[in-house]
Amino acid sequence: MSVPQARRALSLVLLSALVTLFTTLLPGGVATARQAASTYVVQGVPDTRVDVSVDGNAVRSGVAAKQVVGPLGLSPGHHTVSFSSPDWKVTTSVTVHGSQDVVLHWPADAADKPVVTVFTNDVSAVGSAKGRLTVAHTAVVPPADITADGKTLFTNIANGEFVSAVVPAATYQVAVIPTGGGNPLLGPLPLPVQAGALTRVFAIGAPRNGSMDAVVQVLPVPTTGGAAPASVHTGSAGLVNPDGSVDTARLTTWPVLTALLGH
Amino acid sequence: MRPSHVVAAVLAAALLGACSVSGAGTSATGHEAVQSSETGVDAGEPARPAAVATAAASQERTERPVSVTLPSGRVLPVDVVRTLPGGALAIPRDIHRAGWWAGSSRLGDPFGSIVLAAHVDSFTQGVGPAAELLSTRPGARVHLAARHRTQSYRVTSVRVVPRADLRREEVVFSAAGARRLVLVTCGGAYDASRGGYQDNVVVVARPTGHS
Repeated sequence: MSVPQARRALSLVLLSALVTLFTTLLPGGVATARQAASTYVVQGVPDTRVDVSVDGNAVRSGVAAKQVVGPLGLSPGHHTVSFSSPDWKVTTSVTVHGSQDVVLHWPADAADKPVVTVFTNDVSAVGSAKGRLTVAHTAVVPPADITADGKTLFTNIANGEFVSAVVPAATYQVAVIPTGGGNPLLGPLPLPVQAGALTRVFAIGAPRNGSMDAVVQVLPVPTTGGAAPASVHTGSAGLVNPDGSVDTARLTTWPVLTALLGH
Repeated sequence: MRPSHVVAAVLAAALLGACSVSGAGTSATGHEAVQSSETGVDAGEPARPAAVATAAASQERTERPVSVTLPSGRVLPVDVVRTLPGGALAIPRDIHRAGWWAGSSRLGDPFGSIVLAAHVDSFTQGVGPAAELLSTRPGARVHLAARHRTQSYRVTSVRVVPRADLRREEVVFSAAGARRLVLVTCGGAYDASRGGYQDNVVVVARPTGHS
């Protein structure tokens, strides 16, 4: 067996081993695993503990503000999610698919009870040494801008909206600023953005009672493109001089081109 | 009744209708709903669908480049390439195509370099369009097109870097720093016994505003 044949045989063995591993470990096999939903519940109501139930079944009780519960093993499709505190109960139906955050938060204006907003988590691949940063507005404030290290990164995000960008992995000083200017509503706060991760930030609470805060959730995402290249080989024939002109001497001795020219 | 009065009356009726509909919506989702839940109706109340978050209008839709226009006006299609296990960037074999490193930035990303590389020549195809990068000067224009968006750039530097030193050039591959386009090809002295071209030619260009 030649070396390439041996390599091919080895990779086939490894591949079949992997397939066996996946189909053994995951009920329903690879196809089901790809379709499985990852649903997280985010408690974005400050100074309150809530009980969470799904389809009438208690999931977690006494969930404090800023806690993220999940992933819940929910099947894709419709589910009823309820949040209850001593003061209110919020029941909502959620269409579950993919990776999602089900967020309990106050709306932008004064209200008797919180609302629920579903955010889709963008877990698509990011480039080398990068992470995806998503900021969601779930606070009792008008539309806001987000600054990172003093630079405006996102503008004019309203309650129930989000903005996302792929940024170099680093720790940023992040602040929430009213759109149109003014003192920060929150921050600046140090926010680490890891490479190969989705970092979700939810601005929650209200400035009027000093409850502005941030919920941070980190989910892994794949990376694409490989590591930073160590080398770039973009030439082989030596037909070009350092100044960009064509090396005519080499060109005339170049067999293929002479053949073409001689046709 | 003049036609304009008819129009006004219809509009007024439509607006009133809209107002009363939204008024009903408010009472269904507002205080009265809370009161009815306090009286025990809540258990049987059908759950309202949760709001689905939308992206703010300022959300950038990032895209990978699909073609590059060189300073001469020559257009090269762009393929997606990745770093091979040995550390070399895979480059399209065809000298008439450029490779975009999938680990680099995309159009619309707030930071980092968009890295494109193309062969300067090949034994089978001769001299490639990328050869013009060796004589490109600062101020020259380069243009990227993606599926839905475009970006123009102005060349700010053209440098010749020994091939072994390319990895130490922060401006080329770093995800950090201001948005930029970096075009890489080969150049410098050619020594067949030492792997051919001894240098990389690195063209850095900065965005000049859309399209």
